[in-house]
Order: sequence, then C-alpha cells, then structure tokens
Amino acid sequence: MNPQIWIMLSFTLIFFLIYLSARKTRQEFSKRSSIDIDDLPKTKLQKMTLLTFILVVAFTIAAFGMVSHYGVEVWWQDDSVRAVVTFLLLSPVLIFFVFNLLVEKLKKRDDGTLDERDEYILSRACSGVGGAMIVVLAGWMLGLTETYRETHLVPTYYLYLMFWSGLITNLLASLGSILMAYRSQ
Amino acid sequence: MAKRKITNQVRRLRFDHDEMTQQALAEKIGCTRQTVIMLEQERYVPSLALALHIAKIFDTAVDEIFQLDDS
Repeated sequence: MNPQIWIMLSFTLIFFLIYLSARKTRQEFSKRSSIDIDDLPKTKLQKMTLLTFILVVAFTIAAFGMVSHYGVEVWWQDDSVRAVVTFLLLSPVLIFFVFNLLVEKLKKRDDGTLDERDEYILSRACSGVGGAMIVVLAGWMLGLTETYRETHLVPTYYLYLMFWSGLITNLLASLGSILMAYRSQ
Repeated sequence: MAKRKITNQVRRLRFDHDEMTQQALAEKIGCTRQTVIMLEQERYVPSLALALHIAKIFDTAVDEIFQLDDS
C-alpha cells in the first residue's frame, strides 16, 4: 500500500481518537452539570486556538492534496510544485508562531482575559504530542516498509515528508490538547 | 489516597449579592466567565489566591465558600 495512504490513515486515527475523547468528555460533563459543555462561553484563548487549529488543518489538507494530486515524484522534481507545497507547509508554522506571540501578549495583560485556568490549560499543550507523533511515525514506518520491502531502498524525498508531517503533527497535537483540556478541566 | 471533592457556595453567594451576574463576578476577580461557570459547576478548583479573592469580594471567609466533601 502507498505510504501516503498509511499517513492518511494515521491522521484519520488521530482525529478519530480526538473525536471519541471529545464525545466522552461531553457525556461526563452532561452527567454532572445542567449545562451543555458546547454552550459555555468561549474564552479568548479558546477562540484563538480554535481559529489557529482550523487554519493549520486547512493548509495541511491543501498541501497533502497537492502532493496527492501531482504524485510524490512530480512534487519532488517540479520546483514550482515543491515551492507551493513548501509555502503551504510553512504557513501553519508561521500561523502557530503568531498564535504564540499573541498568547504571550495576552499573558502580559492584567484584565482577566487570560486567567489562571487558561494558563493551566496552556501548560497541558504538550500532553497529546507524544501519542500523536508515535501514531504518525508508526504510519510512516508501516507505509515505507510495506511499500519498499522488496527493494530495500526508500526514496530520500520521504525523509522530507516525514519531517513535515512530524512538524505539522506537533502543531495540531499541541492545539488539539489545548482545545481538549478546555472540555476536561 | 482517594481524590476528595471540593464543593463551593459561589453560586448561592452570587445570588445573595444582588444577583450578581457571572460576568460581573468574573470581572471583579479577574478571570473569564467560563472559569466562573466551571467553578460553580464544581469542575474547577481555584488557586488559593483566587479563592481568597472570591472570599474578599463576598466579604466572607474562604472556608465559608469552599468545603471539603468527605462523603
């Protein structure tokens, strides 16, 4: 099976696990509270995180779509396609950087926009990164070994894609962990 | 050690104080309305500093607001 399909399966598995976790926290919250967890007023940090998460997902889907549409070989050989994909992959990193700058700016404000609970939730941002990275790396390992088992030769461009997928996973898992922490803390 | 639950009287005290809104309390104690809601739902245990601040706003002692539920 093509390595891209394995990576798509890895990301699908991560999103499915996030969905299951979100559903479980919603059920637990409903059992003990009179209000719905999704009806809670969103905090500034929560809104910023959600927007950043959506943008990162959109750019990632666009980059993945381009690589899938043109094929990995064409993407690697055609400079213009590679430039566009690199731009699409760099954008989430820049967006995440801006997000972090804005969070730091919020921390300096003393008007309660970012309170102690937000700061605690922020400290949980790394909680899902390890698990998500393992799922994606397992996807790569299975995809590459199954595809190139006969030849024992893995094309070098997959190293490039592995790096980018790891980086994007890191961003998505950090943002996802913050959003999930708002439901459970 | 079993995890002990901390209950609170924030909601009742808020109503006792001229039906103060959650937003008004949030602004007074310097936190978000979501934190006040989570506090009232007993889903969030505040720091000692925030607990003291809430006690100051309601002009009462911390242990009048927050209690350890041993049941």
